[in-house]
Formats: sequence, structure tokens, C-alpha cells
Amino acid sequence: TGGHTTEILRLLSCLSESYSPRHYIFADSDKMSEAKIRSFEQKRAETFSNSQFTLDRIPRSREVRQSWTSSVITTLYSILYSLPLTYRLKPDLILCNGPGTCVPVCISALLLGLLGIKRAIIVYVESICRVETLSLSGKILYYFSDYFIVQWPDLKEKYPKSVYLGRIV
Amino acid sequence: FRFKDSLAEDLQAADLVISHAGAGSCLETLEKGKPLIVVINEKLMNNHQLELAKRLHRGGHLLYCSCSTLVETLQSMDLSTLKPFPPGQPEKFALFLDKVVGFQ
Repeated sequence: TGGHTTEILRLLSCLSESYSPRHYIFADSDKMSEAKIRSFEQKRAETFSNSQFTLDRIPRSREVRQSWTSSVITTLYSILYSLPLTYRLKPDLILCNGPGTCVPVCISALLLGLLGIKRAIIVYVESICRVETLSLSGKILYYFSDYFIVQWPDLKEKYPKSVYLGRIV
Repeated sequence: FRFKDSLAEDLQAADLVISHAGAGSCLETLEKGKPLIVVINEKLMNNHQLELAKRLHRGGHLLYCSCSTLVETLQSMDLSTLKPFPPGQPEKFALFLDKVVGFQ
């Protein structure tokens, strides 16, 4: 969604072309991200001629302030939906930054890893907006990601296993 | 103004921006080097959105006030005390990631 997409595209801006093909996954209810992504990739294609990317939508796992019990159900549904997608893409690296959408994808990837099908490196970057507290996705993925990056020193203190690189977006 | 796609042009032309505490608004404005006053909705005090505005205020990058104190703030403000907000460095992220995946 909105801010998350802008942040993640900034994170991608300095990555070399070795990070290819890029598979973008976002919520079906998201109307604006597709345009931002295409615009980013179009600019990128001006410099790197073999640029490859795909776009996939998954059901949104949770609306803002959705109740706990219904969130569990919608998240489970999103996980079931993402499992075949993640299996098909078999990513080497998953980069995510906080929308609820990332949780089912990461969980699918963890399952694929546990089943010995494909082990992906999961890198989570918490949003620049999170100065003192983690988002819900962050709280969950802090334990399940391989690298958890925060952008403010307070969070590094509270979550010692995290990585602090300063502001990166 | 309601649903303009981008306020970038307007921001570029402005001398002062008065905004709500949304992160996108704060960051976009500060990145363009414009002075910013953030107006906080007292009824939403526990919203995590305030975290960023408060931190930026502590860092001297913006002024903040409530609806009721806005006029007073505008009258007494000294924008020269505001500190510039340096841009983020995605290159650091790229370097880190290259090490992580072994692309050194």
C-alpha cells in the first residue's frame, strides 16, 4: 500500500541488476501501487536493458483495526492463497517492509523452507515511520526473518537482534 | 486539492507548509527543504503516526502545535531555528544486502 510501496521502491533504487527478476506482490485492494511500480521499473529499464519484473496480487490479510479473530481467518486465507504463488516463484530473497501483505508471503516461504522445497532469505525493513514501536507485521517477523532492519536507534535498543543502518529511505 | 496525484509541484513553490502529522507529508516536505509546521489532532494522541512527527520535532526539523495554538505559533515562530533534514541513504541498504546474499 501507498507509503510502503514508496519506501520499498526507494530501498530498491540502489540495488544492482543481480537482483533480478523482481516479483512484486501486493494486495488486491491496492489501487495505486501498480502504477508506482511500473513507473519505477520503466525508469530502471532505461539504464538496465534486461530488466525483468512481474506483478502479483493477493487478498489483503487484514484491514486497519480489524478484529483479532477475523484477522486470523483472513490471514489464514491469504496464506493459503500465497502458498502456490510462493511455490511457483521460489524466491531466493524476500524483501518486505511492513504491510499486512508480507506476513502470508513470508509464512509461505518459511513453510517451503521447512518442507525442504526452497529456502529463501527473508529481509524485513521496518518503515521509517516506526520510531519507538514496531508495526504488527514487524512484531511477528522480528522472530521469523533472517535480517530485521530498523531505521531509528530506539528500536535497535529495544530489539537487539535487529540491524540499524541509519535512515535508508 | 482533494485528490491530486502529487503535491510535489505545490510543495516546490511553497515557502511554508502547514500539515497534519502523516509521515508521508512530513517526509516529502522536509526532503524538499521546506519549513514545516505540523498540526496535531489532540483527539488522536495515541496514534502511532505521531511518533515520527515527535521525533522530527525533537531533532529540530519541524514545529508543532495543535489547532487551537496554530495562530499563536504562526505569530511567534522563528523558522531559522529549523534544522535541515538530510535524505536517507539507500546505498547503505544496497551494500548491506549485497553482503547478505553474497554479491560482494
